[in-house]
Formats: sequence, C-alpha cells, structure tokens
Amino acid sequence: MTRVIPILTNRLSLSLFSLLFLLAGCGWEKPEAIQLAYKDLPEAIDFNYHVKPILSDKCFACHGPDAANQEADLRLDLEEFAFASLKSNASHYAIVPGKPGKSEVVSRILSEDKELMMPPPESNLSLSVAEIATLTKWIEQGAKYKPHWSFIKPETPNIPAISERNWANNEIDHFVASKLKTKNRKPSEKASKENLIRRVSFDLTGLPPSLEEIEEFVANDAPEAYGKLVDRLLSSAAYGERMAADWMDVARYADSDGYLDDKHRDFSPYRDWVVRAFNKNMSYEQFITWQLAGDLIEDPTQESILATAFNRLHKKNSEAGIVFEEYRSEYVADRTSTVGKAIMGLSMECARCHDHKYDPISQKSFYQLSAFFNSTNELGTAVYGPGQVPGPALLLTNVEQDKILNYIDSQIKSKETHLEDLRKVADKEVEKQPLKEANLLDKLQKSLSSKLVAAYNFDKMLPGSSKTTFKSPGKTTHPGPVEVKEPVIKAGAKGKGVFINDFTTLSLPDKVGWFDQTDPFSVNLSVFPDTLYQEAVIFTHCEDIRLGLKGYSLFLEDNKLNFIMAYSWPENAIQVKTVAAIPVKEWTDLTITYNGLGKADGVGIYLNGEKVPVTVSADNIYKSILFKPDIHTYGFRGFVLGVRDKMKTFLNGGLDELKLFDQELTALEVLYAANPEKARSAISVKGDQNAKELIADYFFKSDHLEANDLRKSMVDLRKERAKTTTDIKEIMVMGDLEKPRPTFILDRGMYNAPTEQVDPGIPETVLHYDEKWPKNRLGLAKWFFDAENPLTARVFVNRIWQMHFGKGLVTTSGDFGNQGSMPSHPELLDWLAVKFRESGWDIKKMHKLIVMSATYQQSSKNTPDLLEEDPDNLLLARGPSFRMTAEMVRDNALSISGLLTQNTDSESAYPYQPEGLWDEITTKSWRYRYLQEPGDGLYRRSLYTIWKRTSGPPSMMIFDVSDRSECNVRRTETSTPLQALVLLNDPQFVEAARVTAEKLIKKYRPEEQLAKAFKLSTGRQADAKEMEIIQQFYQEEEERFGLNKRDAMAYLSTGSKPVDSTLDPVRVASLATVINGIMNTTEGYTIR
Amino acid sequence: MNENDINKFGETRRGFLKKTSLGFGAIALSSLIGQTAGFAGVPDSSGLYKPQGLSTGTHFPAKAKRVIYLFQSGGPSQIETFDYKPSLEKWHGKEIPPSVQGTQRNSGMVADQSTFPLVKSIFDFKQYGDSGAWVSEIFPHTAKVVDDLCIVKSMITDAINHEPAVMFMQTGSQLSGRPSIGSWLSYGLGSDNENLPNFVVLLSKSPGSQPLNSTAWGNGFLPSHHQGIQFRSGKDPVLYLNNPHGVHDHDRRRALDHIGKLNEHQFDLWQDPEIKSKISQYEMAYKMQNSVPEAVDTSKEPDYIYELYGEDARIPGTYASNCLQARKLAERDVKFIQLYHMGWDQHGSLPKGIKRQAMSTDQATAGLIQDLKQRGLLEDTLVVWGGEFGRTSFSQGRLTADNYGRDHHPGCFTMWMAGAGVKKGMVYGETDEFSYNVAKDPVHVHDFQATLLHLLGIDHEKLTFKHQGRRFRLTDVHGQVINELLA
Repeated sequence: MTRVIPILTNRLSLSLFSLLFLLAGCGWEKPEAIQLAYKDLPEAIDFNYHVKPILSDKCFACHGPDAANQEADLRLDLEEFAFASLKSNASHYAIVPGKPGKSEVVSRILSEDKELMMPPPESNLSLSVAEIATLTKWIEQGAKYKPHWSFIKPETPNIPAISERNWANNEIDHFVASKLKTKNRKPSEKASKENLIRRVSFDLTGLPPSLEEIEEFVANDAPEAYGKLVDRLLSSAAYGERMAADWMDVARYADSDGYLDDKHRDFSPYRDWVVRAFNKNMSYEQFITWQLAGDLIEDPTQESILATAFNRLHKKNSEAGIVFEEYRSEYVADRTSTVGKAIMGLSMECARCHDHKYDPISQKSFYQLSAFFNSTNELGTAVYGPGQVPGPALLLTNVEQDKILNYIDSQIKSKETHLEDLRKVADKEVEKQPLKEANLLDKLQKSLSSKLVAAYNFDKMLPGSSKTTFKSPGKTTHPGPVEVKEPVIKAGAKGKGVFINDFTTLSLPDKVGWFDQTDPFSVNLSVFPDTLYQEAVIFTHCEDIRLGLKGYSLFLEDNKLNFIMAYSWPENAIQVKTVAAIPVKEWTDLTITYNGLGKADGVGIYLNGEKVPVTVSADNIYKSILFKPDIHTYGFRGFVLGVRDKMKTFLNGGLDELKLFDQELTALEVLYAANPEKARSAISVKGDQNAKELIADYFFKSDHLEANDLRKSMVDLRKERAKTTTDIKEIMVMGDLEKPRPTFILDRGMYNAPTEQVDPGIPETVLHYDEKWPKNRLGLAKWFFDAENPLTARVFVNRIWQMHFGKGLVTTSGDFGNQGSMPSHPELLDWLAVKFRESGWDIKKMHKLIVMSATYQQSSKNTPDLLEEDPDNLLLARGPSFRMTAEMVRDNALSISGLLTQNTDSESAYPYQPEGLWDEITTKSWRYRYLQEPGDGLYRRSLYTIWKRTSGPPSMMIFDVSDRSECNVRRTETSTPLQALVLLNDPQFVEAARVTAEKLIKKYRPEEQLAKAFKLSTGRQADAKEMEIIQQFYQEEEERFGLNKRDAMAYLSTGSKPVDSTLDPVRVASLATVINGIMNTTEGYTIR
Repeated sequence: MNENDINKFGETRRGFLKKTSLGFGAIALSSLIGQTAGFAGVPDSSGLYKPQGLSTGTHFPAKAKRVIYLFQSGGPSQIETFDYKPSLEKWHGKEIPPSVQGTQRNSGMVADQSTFPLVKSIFDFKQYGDSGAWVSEIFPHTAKVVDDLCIVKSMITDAINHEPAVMFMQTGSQLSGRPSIGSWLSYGLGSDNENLPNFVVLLSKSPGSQPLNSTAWGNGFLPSHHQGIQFRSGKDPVLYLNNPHGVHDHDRRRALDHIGKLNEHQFDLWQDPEIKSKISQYEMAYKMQNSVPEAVDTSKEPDYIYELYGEDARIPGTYASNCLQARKLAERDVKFIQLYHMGWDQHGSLPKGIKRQAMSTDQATAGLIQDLKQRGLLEDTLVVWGGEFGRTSFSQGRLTADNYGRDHHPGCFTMWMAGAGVKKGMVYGETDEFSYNVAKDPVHVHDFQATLLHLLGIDHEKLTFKHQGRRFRLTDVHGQVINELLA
C-alpha cells in the first residue's frame, strides 16, 4: 500500500490547505471542530474509560484480538503492535505517542477519501467528532495503554470525603455523592416511608408489604425501624424465592428439553436447592463451587451433587435424525458460555468459532475452558423414557429411602460373605469326593436342559402370516416359534442358519427372554460375521437408544462383542466388551452369562465354550430395566435379532442355534454345551487345577442347596432394592468420565472439524491458573474464587446492584469485556467487590449494605432537568424505579388478594393459561397436556410456573421474562399493549381483583374500602385527586352493575376461587373493577 | 444518543458527523460516564406499532410493502412437487452413485441403511402456463397460477434436522433465540397499521406432524414488541384480547379513561416519561381489542371467495382458512404475515402423505395468489412458499412399487415467491439429474433472506442490532441479493 496524502474536502469547517500542511509537517494543529470538541473532553484521557470503548466498537473488528482477521496486519488493542512500524510501510506508524500528526491512525480517521478513511465506509461504522477528538487527545497525551479495566484486580479505593456527611449512611453514599458533586448535583430527598417499605419488600422478597406492615412501619419512628425491616425481609422464606427467580434465568431453568420434541423433564429439585441455598445465605463461593463441582468436593453430599444440575439445564435434542456428537458438542459449548457469562461476565460464545473480535479471548481459550465440561458421560440425544435421565444421574433418595437401601445393602453384603464362606468349604468337599466322568457329563446334560427356556435351530421355516414371513419352531415345547421376516437361508453352524439382509428380522415370542438386571440368565448363539463390522447389532431385548437402550443387548464393535445391560446407557448401565474380535466368515459359538447381581463382574462372555478376557466400560445399574409401557416409548419388541432402525445392521451376517437360559450357566456347562468332547477331556485330566475349579464351580452353583437358597434370597433382595430405587426420582447432574474425554479446538465450531488438542484451561489474560489447583471443575471453581480473580466479585456484586437499581453499575451486566459498558462508578464497584470477597462472599450482607445506603433510599421522583441530563439515572441522583419483573407482577396480585399459597409441592405448577396453546404447536400422540391446577396449586409463586421451552408461560413472556434458551443475566424491559391486555383481562388478575374486593368488603367499613383498595394496590395513601377519581369510577360501576346484576355475576364468575355468596355481588364487582383499574395504573406494577 | 438508531437511520458518515457536532453535550456526557459502547440490549421505550426503525424511509425504494410467508414445515419433497426429474426414471431402484452423494451429510435416520436406491416421483408432471414450468399433478391449482410464480429450484440450507433448519430459515441462525425475519422487519420498518400487530403468525397442522417451536417467531434480542403475535382460531384470537365476562366495550372505555386520569396524575407526581408510554400502550391495546376481531372475521366473505380458497376455508384453524385470514391482514397492511403449516415430513409412505398435504394446501395457496391479484394487492405484497429443507432422491426405508420415503436433504430444495418485485413465470436455478446437488445458480438461505429484505427496501448488511457487544444481522456475515429474481 502506497502512502497517499489524504485529500480532504468539505470537511466540517476545516480549511483543506491548512490541514494538509499541518499533517504533512511535523506539527499538529487540530481541525477547528476537533478543537471545539476538546473543551468537552475530560482533562486526562484514560485509555480504559475513554479510548478503548471507541477502539473496541469501531476498530477492533478488523484491528483487534482476532488473529485470523487482522486487516493490514495491524492490531490496535496492544501497544507493542500499535506503536510498531506498519507492515505496509515501515516508515510509518499507526500511533506515535505524543504525535498525532505523525500517527497514521489520526490521518485515517480524519480522511474523507473513501479509499483511506477509517472506519471504511463499507463497514457501516463511523466516528463522531467527539470520538475523533478523544483519540487524538489521547495520542497527544502520550497514548498510554492499560490492561482492560475489569481484568485488573479490584483494590479497596479511598473513600471520598464528602460534604453531605449527614446524608450518607455508608460508604456507598460517599462514592455516589462525590460523583454527584462533579456534576454540581445533590442527592434527592429521602423516599417516603410508604415508598421505602414497598421498594425494599419487592427488592428483597418479590412481594408487596401487607397493609398492616405498611401501617406499622409508617407509624414507627424509631431510627432502627428500617434496619429491622430489612433484617426481617432478608430472613423471610420469600427472600430465597425472589433470588431464585433471578437465578433461574442465569441457569436457563426449564421443565422441558427444548427443540421440537421438547420432552418434559423435572428439574424442580434443583430449583428447590437454589431457594434453600439463598435462604441459608450460602456464601457465593459455596453456591458456585457446588454448582460447578459439587460432585468433586471433599465428601460430596446429595445436596452438593444436586447443585451440579446447573450445568445440565441446557437444551437437549431428541430429534431422531441428529448426529449425537454434533449436539453433545453443543451442550459442552452451552456450559462453557453459561459459565463465562454467569460467573465471569464475559461473552465467550463468539470465541467458539474464531478468536474473539473484541476481547482477549482466543478460540483456543474457549476450548480450554470447554475442556472442563467435556467429560460428562452422555450422548448428544436426550434420553426421555419414564424416569430416564441421560448421562450422570443423581438418585434423589430421602432419609427413609436411604435407610431402606442401606439395610438391603447390608443384608446382601452379609449373604455375600456367607456365600464366600460356604464356597471355601464346598470346594474342599468336592475335591474329597471326585465324581465319575460319565455321571458328571450326564448331570451336565440334565442341568443344561433344566435351565433352558427356549431353543431355536432355524432348520425349519414354516409359512407365516404373509409371503415373506415364516415361523421357525422352537426345540423346547412351551415357547412358540420365532417369527422370521425375509430371511436368507444358508448353511448354518448346524443345519441351516438365517442370514440378514436389509429387511430381515427375527422376533421371539412375547416375554421370552424377559429378564431384568436382577435375574440371572444366559444366552447362547452362533454367529457368522460376513466382514469386519465397525458396528452391528446381534440381538436386543431393549428399547431405542433415545430410551437409553433400556434392557439388554449385544453388539459387534470392530467385531468385538459388546454386551450392554442398561437403564439409561451409557451412564446407568453395565457394559462389557471382549478384548479380541471374533473371526470373519466363520461360525463362532458365543455365550453370555449373567449372575443377576448387578455387577459387570457377574457377566461372562464365552467364545466356543471358552471364557474370554473383557474390558468394563460401565458398571452402574440399580433400577429395573424391564420395559414399562408409557406414551413416550414406542412399544416393546421383545427379544429380536436382525434389522432394527437406528442401529447398524449385521448385514449379510449369519445367525444360528439360539438358546436362552433362565440361570447363569457355569463355565463347565458352557463348555459342555459348545463342545461336549472338549468338556469331557477337560474334566478327565486328573489333578488338573483348572479342571478342579471348573467342577467345583459347577457344583457350587448348581448342586449346593444352601448356596442356592442364599443366591435366591440375594436375588430377592436385589429385586426389592431395584423396586425401591425404580420409583425414586433422578435428576441430571455432572460427573466425569474416569479418563477425561480429549478436547479439540473445533474449526468454526463444527463438531466434525477438530484441530489442535487442548488441555483444560482458562483465559490467562484474566488470571493465571495456579498449578496447585486440580485441572478439573473444582480447580476451576478455585480459580474463580481466588482473591486475585478480578472478575468474579465484580460481576456478581454488580448483579446484586442491578436487582436493586434496575441496572448494574456496569449496565451490560453480562459483558464485562471491551464491548461492555464502563462502570458508572468504578471505585464504588471495586469497593463493593472487595467488600463482598472479604465478607466471605456473604450475599445477604451485600443486599443489606446496598439497601441501607442513603443512595438507595432516595426518592425516585424525576425533575425535568435531571431527566434531560441523566435520563437513565446513571448518576444516581435519585432513587431506583422500574417496572416489576414478570414474576412480581403476578405474585403481587396473588399476594394482595391473599390467594398466594406457600409452596408445598416441588414440581412445577400449572396456573391459568389460555387453552390450547400447547396443542397448537404439535399433534404428536405423546404430546403433553396443560392440565390446569385444581386448587391452591393455581396460586403458587410464579417462580414455580411450569416452563416449557417451546411454549413459555405466555403472560410472563409478555412481561419480558427471558426465554430460557440460554443463560441470561439481564432482562430487557419493554412496554407493549399486550401487557395492558394481560393486566386487564387475564383471569388471574381479574380473579385476584375480585378476591381482594371480597376481602376488603369483609374487613372494612364501606367508606374505608376504596382508600384501602388504593393503598393495598399501590402501597401508598391516595391523595384527594386520586380519591375523587376512584370514587367516581366506583359510583359508575355500582350504577351499571346495579342496573344489570347479571353483568356483576358474570364478572365475579372468573377464576376457580368460589365466590363469597354472602356478599352483595354488585358491590364486590364494582370494587373489583376499580381495584383492577388501580392495578392497571403504573403504580400498580412499578417499583417506585 | 442510542446508537442502534444510528444504524437504523442508515445515515451517511458526513450527515452523522454533522448531527453529532450539534449534540455535543450528550456525547461528552456519555463518554465521561462510559456509555460510548454498551447499549447492548437496551430497548427503546417508544411504543409498539409506532412507526420507528428506518423512519427516514428504507435504504432504497421498496417493491414490497408486506410479506405473506407460507411456511411448509417438515420439508416438502422437491421431487414430488416442482423439481421434475425424468432422468430418475432410468435410475429408479438403482443405487445412488457415490460421486453424486459426494460429501453431503445424511441424517442419523438413514445412517444405518445399507442401500440407497434412487426413486423417481410417483406423480406425473406437466408443463403449465406461458412459462412452461413443470408442476406435479398433486398441485393442480398451483399449476394454474404458475405464471405468477418465481420458482427457485436451487435452494440450499446448512441444517439437516427440523428445528435447526426451521430456525435457520426463519432467523438466519440454527440456534433458537435469534430474531425471526418478521421481527427484523418490524424493527426495521415499523408499522403501517397502528391498530394491529406488525408481525402476525397463523398455525395449521396435519395429524402426526413434527412439532414447532414458538421461538421461531420470537423477537430474540430485539425488543419484545417485535415478536410475532399469534392469531388463533377461536374466541380469543389474540391472547388476553377479550374483556372479562360482564365487561362491555363501553365499560372498558370508561375504565380506561379513569386509568388514564390516574396515570396522568401519577405522571404529575413522578415526572416519569415511562408513564406517558404506558398511557399510549393502553390506548393501543384498546384499539387492538376493536380492530382484531374485525380483521379476523371471515364470516362475511362471499361464497365465491370460498370457492376460490376451497371449502376448508370455512373451518377455522385450517391452512385454507389461514390463507384467507392472511389476505385480510394484508389488506390491513400488516407487515409480515407468517403462516406455518405442519406435516411435510414424509420419511415413509411419502406418496400418500404428500398427497394428503397437497390436497389440504394447494387450492388455498393458489386461491390466495388469485385473490391478492384480483384486489391489486399482489403488486405490493410478496408471497413466499417453502419449507426448511428438501428431501433425498434415494428412498428412506424400503422402496416398493407404490411406496417409499425420503429423508431430510439440505443440499437442494424448491421454494417460490410471487408478487411484489419478483419476476413472474420465472424458474430459477437447476439441480443435477438426481435432484441431489445444485447444478446451477445456487441460492443459499442467507441469499434468499438478503433478497427478501431487498424487496422490502432494506440492505441486509445495514439492518443491524447491537447485542452482547456485537452487531447482529439476519444474514449473519453472509448473503447476497439474487438480482436475477428481481423484476
């Protein structure tokens, strides 16, 4: 690129020639407009506060941290690059400190030449005069760079001295007042007591104060009355619910998986945990550490593990055609972004596909962070059978159930010991009395027959129900024939065998092979692989993979046998795989034996009668694996072989000689069944240790009566245990694979484009990861709560502030990066952050500190000049005021009417919702029905309302609740006619107004009722003007309802709460419409 | 100074410099208190349905004033509808050549299938109209209006599963939670009718369809008044629209007057401008209560209209009824009318399934085009027809003489547009002889979206919204206007 002297035309009021001259020469004289702008700039230009926001927003997209997208090889985010000579022209420099005239940046931002101007016209970005002036002044002053403000550890700042010492209640007020002073402003007067109790009640509990509470507080002149009120609110149970409602957005809490199927999933135990945690005032450190790594802490408890459900609340796809790995990587990315935004206040998700454009977060650091969350033992599909949970699950036992399970376990344990003892004695007995070989073989034959429940040799194919269906009779008499569809018949292991084409299926009769994980059983079969199968199914007695392969099944994986017994594979399962592969193009006789004791070591795999070595990749089963019909299952197919959809076919492979046994076969029986001759020679070798063991084992397992009884009672106990656990709820939690899953940088974020492998790590620009911390989620938590971490305390304390002031000191509470806004009161934020950390991360303490401040207690009244100068109240010259959250809007109505019920049930509630909404988006036979609560359940706090991701609670959505598709730390506040329609017409609000009216009529004299109604609805006394309006309103209503009593009756009919028939309907309806009207004025839904 | 406005206004650099030089005080303040960056997600507090956004006009003259988008959810097969492939006759039953299949991904549903037999359409095709476009026999009515259509046979998408593909088509991102096309238009163009929502959604379905996710018509990070408002069949066409029992229109009016007076008084007390905004919201709510029922009432339509749309149009909630509804809303200048018709997901028993789908939609679709045309509305209304992806040219499941299925296929599919600003009787783009790959003139979803915005006078690169520090657009960082489609 050749240097072209910029040609400036028509630029502001600037003389073209003088500028040309000035820029070309060494001196620097500002253009007039810039000069003019200087006087509005602060004296000292600060890189973080003044310059970087401009550079980040307007320049970094092309000259920022993203290594792959640096135009002209220039980056302006770091001084070593910005001050270096330009790659395109070594004699020029982007920035020469102190010399704007020599800085290429300056000439470019002043240029009018389309080829040269920066930002270039096609970027759709431009700089204002003030921004240009800021940049030039900064360069003039030496272009001093600083690390990003939020990456510098907060230190306790000096408390500014202020003149309003009488006004200030605590340090917060010093920071605020000193800032106000720079603007020649004073704080507002104190809010009225009525306003104050209402404000602080909603802020801390999400609920309004009662009339009595208001009156008592207003009457109480004691100086400590407010402090006591705050303490009472902080210790009320409603506090935890208020805080949890906020945290639900962060945790993207929902009662359904999301995506099209949107299967429902009860996560309410996690929600309850959050409420409890806040109410116990769990420290923020513990609160986060448990949610990140409650399974990894020392002595984890059910509570601590339950907390980790936080990272499993992402959406889960159950669409049939998905590639699992694609969605698994989606979940990992979601956890990473959530942790990034929730705890660090950084928007990590940009770095999933490329280096962050604005923040020093490389793509690599995104994947390093994601490596902490990449080892969950899960599939990309949702598993959604009744009670089934994908990936690690926590059994939510109560104390009683724990007792039962512990008792059963101890019983099993003692029987196990007893069995071992018996075995030692029995082995010696066997050695003492050797059996005759012929007798033994005969005995083996008999015991095999007695254990046999079904046998098919596939030598005969009788006509079936259609041309392509056959029946192959069984060798034993009781089970019926196997139904075979479209078989290819060829020579088998013995006689004929069935070969598999694209459409071949073999189905055993109903209930043959119906074994639970508590039943001992064995399967024997001959297979003929046509080739080396990467993956193929041999037999299944299980459900679809989206139902966790519930049941048992045998697969080939690179021709190794892979036996799975699962409740919800791959986590709640036993999985045993042979080390060696079976040969291609020959028949192998294989046997699977299982002792019914629920452990992988109870599974034996035999090839041609010989036990083979296996590896165990899962050993965790406790619930019953028997099929249970449910609308979400697809019906059960029983024991089937051959083609099965969504499983790889054993194409062109052969099957023959299938036998099922309802006992665990011993090694000797298996050998005998596979090869009697070999069995005979094995036991005939005298004194052979192997033979002795085979025989002893056989006798102990088949002939020993006492041992048999013991085993039977163990099976019974295990059945009892499974029965107990099967009905116990489980919840998805975190839990890592023993060997961490390797993590790769994914090119453009694509699951199938891995590049470099990375270790778990964090963005080093924030804080170094101390080697003493483990490289797992627990270590990550330690990194977050290290005293040196610059972000954790600031980010959360800012959100507490946001709860009280409607916006944070950093308004972009989810983005503390370069593109986020700067703190309005940086020293105050740092002071609060340090205070929070030093308090031991005490959340209630921070709330109290904030609400005790004089700043918080100011009146929120506006003045015209304040509105003009500071419409967003960033200076805090007045008290906070904002619309109630969606939850508060409804809970307020429930509360003042007295309808609100204490939470009694953990699972989500189904309050009023317009009919048919869920039915409109699906016609699936398994669709979920919205069954409105019959009684008090209607009136639980909004926190507990059922959250279906594809159809959120409509009235709450209209009031800007976040959509729960991803982590959100700040709701937008909009104003729409739909909100008016909700408050005017939603049965919930109409009913609440009616019940409130009934309550007031019963409690107060007629002349008091309107005033009380107003006070109850708005929290304050009506003034004369307001009384006049509502009285007139009431009279009109009384008149019209009086003329038409049926309208009154109709109006009262809304809602489930029975009408109080002792009251005059005209009066109730009149008062109710007035109350509904008051609730529809801004005072009814605004925190003042 | 909210910088979202700067982008929305699309002002020139110079104009902007001049403007800000006048409003210096505000800029200086904002730079001091650190507000230069970071208006992320701050909504404007101005009311719903007020003209806003590109209030100085569009980026260039708009051809279309409004859109009716007939979304065929589930992924209609291109091979049985518009993409006539006589060449599949000779390949019928034969394995798809690996060279054709290339690196295109299959969904997990056919991943275990060992053979991929090609399958021709079981339905006949004929050429229609002056354009001579080929149309399947399952669309006899659409065939009649083919000279009004601009058929694109070379659509390509990135997604292979339903939800990501629907989201991609509607929001430009496969992840749910981004603003949909209608929301972008509402944000960018404001409203032409203060009494009705800007972006209306109508749903219809067949038994057993894939479900929908209501975030497909969500506002994403745009202020929530840009969300699609579902109009439902039945007594409460918009949620919470009806007054409670015992409250008549005049009672509501009176109540609103009292509420208004109280609000005015509260404004005097608090001087909070938000109160003024609420007052106007309540008035707009009242207007909606009056105008929506009238807008959705099709009972007074004459018989010849029902002959045009088909008898189904008399049954509320059907696709045909929704098409008629769409015309009524277009007449009332609703900006974006989004229909979803579920049920085009024919993995198996495709011949029967797609025929049923066609029968329940064809006449009404064609009827809508004719009706708009006879009212002169087609001149400034853009009608779009299409699903989220196409279907494979090989059979999913068993191919028999009269039965087969087709899996999801992102590699090529057919959509059409009609009306404002697009060429009539146009067939654009070609697929290979298997209808598996695009052979000529590919139109990616982002290109389609860019073209749609263009027809409404919007430069898709300039309609942006800053969220989480980044300026988002409907077309992400992609998309090109397909000029060949423009009249």
